[in-house]
Amino acid sequence: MTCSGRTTSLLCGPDGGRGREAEAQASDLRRPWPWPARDRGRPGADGVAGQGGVFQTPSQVAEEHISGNQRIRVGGLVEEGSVQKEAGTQVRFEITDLANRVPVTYSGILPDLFREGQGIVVEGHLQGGVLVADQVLAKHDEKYMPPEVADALKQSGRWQHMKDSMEQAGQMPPGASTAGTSPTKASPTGAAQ
Amino acid sequence: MDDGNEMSEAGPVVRDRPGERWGGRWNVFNRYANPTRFMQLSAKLVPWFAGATVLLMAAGLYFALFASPPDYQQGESVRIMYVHVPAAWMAMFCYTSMAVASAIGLIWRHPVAEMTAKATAPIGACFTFLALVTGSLWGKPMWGTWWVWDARLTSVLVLFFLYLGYMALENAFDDPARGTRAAGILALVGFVNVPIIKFSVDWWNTLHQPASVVRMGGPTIDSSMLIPLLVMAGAFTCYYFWVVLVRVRGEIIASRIRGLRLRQVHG
Repeated sequence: MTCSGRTTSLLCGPDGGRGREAEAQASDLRRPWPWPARDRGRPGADGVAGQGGVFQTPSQVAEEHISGNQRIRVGGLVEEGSVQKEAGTQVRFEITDLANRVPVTYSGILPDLFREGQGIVVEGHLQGGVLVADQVLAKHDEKYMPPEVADALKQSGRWQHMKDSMEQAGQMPPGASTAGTSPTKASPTGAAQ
Repeated sequence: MDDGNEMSEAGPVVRDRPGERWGGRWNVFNRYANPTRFMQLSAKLVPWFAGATVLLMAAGLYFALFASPPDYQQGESVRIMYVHVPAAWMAMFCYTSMAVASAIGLIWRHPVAEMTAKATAPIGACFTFLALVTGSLWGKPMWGTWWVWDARLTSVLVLFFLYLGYMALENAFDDPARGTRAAGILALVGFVNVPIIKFSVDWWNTLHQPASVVRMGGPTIDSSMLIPLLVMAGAFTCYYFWVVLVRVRGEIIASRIRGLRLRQVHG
């Protein structure tokens, strides 16, 4: 894994020495996951996805009018403090790009990596402003360590969990890190074409 | 397969004078082109690899399942990694071995190299299958899906199909020598997939996480987990050498039996 050049991963870490702007540019050059096989060529999905993403940011969802029967995929962070377990496997939470939020309901088994502040992708339909999800995907990063080591890192102040999850999410919603500045960057290799 | 015929015409020129053409530098290389010498050497090596496999596997599984800590995010599910990652490494290592052995077999008509390529294919296919299955079992609880068509998963699935294609092509000819040569060319062409697998997580935005061990800037895996992982990788590697030697020995014995039968029929 290299920390320079076009193939830069946004998971390179804070010592990569690049600002949010550069990261956003890099993210535009990369193909977002999940692989957009199901959405490709389907009318509607491409138009909404825009900006080179097969998932939308909560800001995009807020800006654009999306009809109820349209299937959408939203990427972002699980809002801190928003997760509410309800009856059975029903769970309610909000997904955010730190600028806008979309409420989500999901019924099913959440991935183990699902937690507040974690970058996720949610797929489902909008019903009255609430995203009724039928799939929730969480991404794991390349770090493996025992809980005690993680605790020690947190105590010593070297822990950058939130920053890392944001970078992880920065890899996911292209607009998250540029929200408020210039959310519409040109995407030469965008999957929207 | 016309080009196969051309090459078989060019082959004997080299085979008749092994060592002569390249001098001393290739002596070691040519020595084990001789199946009899290979049988002698491999008979000595097989018990060592078998013993090393048993020891490393026992130690590795003990560390992986009991003596290593759970992960701070994945909990106990991290233990799948101790089988998944070595299996995925071996999937690529076996394909690389198969491609190198095929190249040596195609260029120098090295009979042991041809048999090694042939013997490696099913082992590599098994490792690839193991990596796919364990990855899927890990993906469901962690990611929330058994499968996603991202670059890493898809390229490993292609690797699995390359192994199957190699084996099918290898057995698709009445003349086993032609089958080995045709499959050897497939192995070389398919080798392009190996760097694609390795760098897929850097080149594309995959759901699969980037490399944790073989990466710039050192491993991002705690030593309490890295050591069991490397022990398991050692066990898998020794297992491969053990099984591939046994399989090549079997191939040599089978070809001797074929030769004896032919002599019986014609003699």
